[in-house]
Amino acid sequence: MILPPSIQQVLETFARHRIQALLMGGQACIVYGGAEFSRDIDFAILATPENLAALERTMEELQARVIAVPPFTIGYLSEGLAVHFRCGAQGVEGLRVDVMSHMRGVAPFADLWSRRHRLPAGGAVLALPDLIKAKKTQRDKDWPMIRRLMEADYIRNPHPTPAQIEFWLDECRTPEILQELSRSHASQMASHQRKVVQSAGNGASSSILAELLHEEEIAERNADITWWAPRKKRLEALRRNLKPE
Amino acid sequence: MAITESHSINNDSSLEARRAFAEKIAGPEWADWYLLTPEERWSASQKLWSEYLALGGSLDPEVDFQSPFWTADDYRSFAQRSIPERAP
Repeated sequence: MILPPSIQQVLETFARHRIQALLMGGQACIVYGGAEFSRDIDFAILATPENLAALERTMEELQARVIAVPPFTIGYLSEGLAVHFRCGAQGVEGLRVDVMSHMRGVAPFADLWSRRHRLPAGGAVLALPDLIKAKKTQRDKDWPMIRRLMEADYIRNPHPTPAQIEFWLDECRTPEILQELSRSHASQMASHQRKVVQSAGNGASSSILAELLHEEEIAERNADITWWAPRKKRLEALRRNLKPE
Repeated sequence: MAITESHSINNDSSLEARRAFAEKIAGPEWADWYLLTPEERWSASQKLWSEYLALGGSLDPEVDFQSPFWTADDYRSFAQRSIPERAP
């Protein structure tokens, strides 16, 4: 019988080597209420020589090799590039593991680590507010995910703290929830920095709120495209250098 | 810090109201998913993962032209993958 590659095994191996790494991406979304079927495991990691040495030992145990550019160095990670591995050890054959240490709009790793949550399966995961920020990319598929994650958080917390309400106002992307919040928090919403929250507080319709949410999405996606432009050139140059003349 | 429920929603009198609202904004399947615990969602996802692989699912990257990491080489690799033949 062929056993499926085990995400659990990767998480346990990371934990055993005491790596400062936080699960993010699709697997992290499942924990918080998303349902993305991700074919790999993504980690945010602390880019220090000590932590990368521990990660190197972990990857050796998982018989993982780098499968694309850039090479696994602290310099490339610090530039905001992802390093891609594929595992070969028994139980995790073929499983891809991506690591990054710097993401656009996301706090430095020390802050992420201080806010981390333990995973049901072992190891740690980005806190939901940090995962939401990491998901604000140029890709279509990330935006419905943000909406789902925020809806799940809202549905599961019927007695929110003031900090949770502030978090919902900062990140919620569902017009109906913003309208519901406006019934009890209109004054707080009227002075909020997000235009869509202000409008909800002033009684705007769902269609107007949807338009404002779309404007926000476009602005973030354009910012992500701009952020990635020099990094994509960097990756293309690295790929050219790998190809034979 | 563990991921725990900040409120025992299963004992909360407003659970049905929450479920109804979840169904209104996202539909019944998503409402069910939202109301699972993180542990239950993780377990369900791992079962799906096993079934996906048992059915021959690939661990290669999916087509994603919007990803900064997606390259022309990825596309060629994807295009060269065998496609299951149609049953006679």
